[in-house]
Amino acid sequence: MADGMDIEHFRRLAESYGAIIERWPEALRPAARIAAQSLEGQEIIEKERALDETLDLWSVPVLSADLARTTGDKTLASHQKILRRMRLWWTGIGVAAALSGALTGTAATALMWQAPQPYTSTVFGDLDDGDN
Amino acid sequence: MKRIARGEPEAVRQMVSSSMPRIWALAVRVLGDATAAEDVAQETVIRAVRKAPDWTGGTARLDTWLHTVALNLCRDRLKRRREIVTEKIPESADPSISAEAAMIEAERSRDVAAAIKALPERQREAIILVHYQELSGVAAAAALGISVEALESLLARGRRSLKQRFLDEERGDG
Repeated sequence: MADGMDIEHFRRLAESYGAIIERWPEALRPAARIAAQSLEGQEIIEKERALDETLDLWSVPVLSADLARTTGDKTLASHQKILRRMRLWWTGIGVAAALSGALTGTAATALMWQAPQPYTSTVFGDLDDGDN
Repeated sequence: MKRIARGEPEAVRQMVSSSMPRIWALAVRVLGDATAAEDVAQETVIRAVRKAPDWTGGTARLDTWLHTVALNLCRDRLKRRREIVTEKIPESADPSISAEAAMIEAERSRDVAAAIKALPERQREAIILVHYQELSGVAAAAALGISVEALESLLARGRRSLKQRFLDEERGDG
């Protein structure tokens, strides 16, 4: 058994993640590096390295800078459109709230409004009520 | 993401330029179609920008999230297509190697691509995420919506099948 890690555990990890221990689960790397120094560990790593190198033969081109830039511009335009709509929406909410408040205020004012007092009215009664 | 949420143009451009090549590479490998991969990559980054106001995770989580979204978009496309389109990927010409070497390299690349495409879908996705996209086990498992143990099982089975296939091809050529 290799130091810090059972060789079968080491093998299973290598068969899953390949030869590059930096790609293995972080917590297991120190023990794995020790195990990799054993003869058996080296054989396991070599076998997986051969597959890794074969897999690396599958190459894809690099994305063109033009496309990345165009996408950036499109994304920005779309994002700014959404932000403008959100601002309009919030502004709309603000206008609606203000209108609602204004209507409420108008109703309150109407309740308080009284018919204009006649010229002869006094707090002591009308001057021409015939009692004098 | 906070800067993106505030509508800072430079933040949007930075996110797109740093994420898009990586997501495009994932989509190209999964779909085998560069044009479709462009659509997936664009849709993915647009969704990320829209998510910015609600985003609470860090950079690493964003990378995992982008991969999850891109993978799901790829799967949707594949379901609609009902088949995997064989290579519609433009081959990159390396000016430093001879034409013959370039042809051999391109052929080997196609052979590996074909071998990976022959894998069951989940094994293929697992290998693409871990080997090519270099996601950690935790991140790849999260992108696939499975446990780390399940991911490791997919990887091991996929790699075993590939080893056998390449060995058989070698024996066949020899």
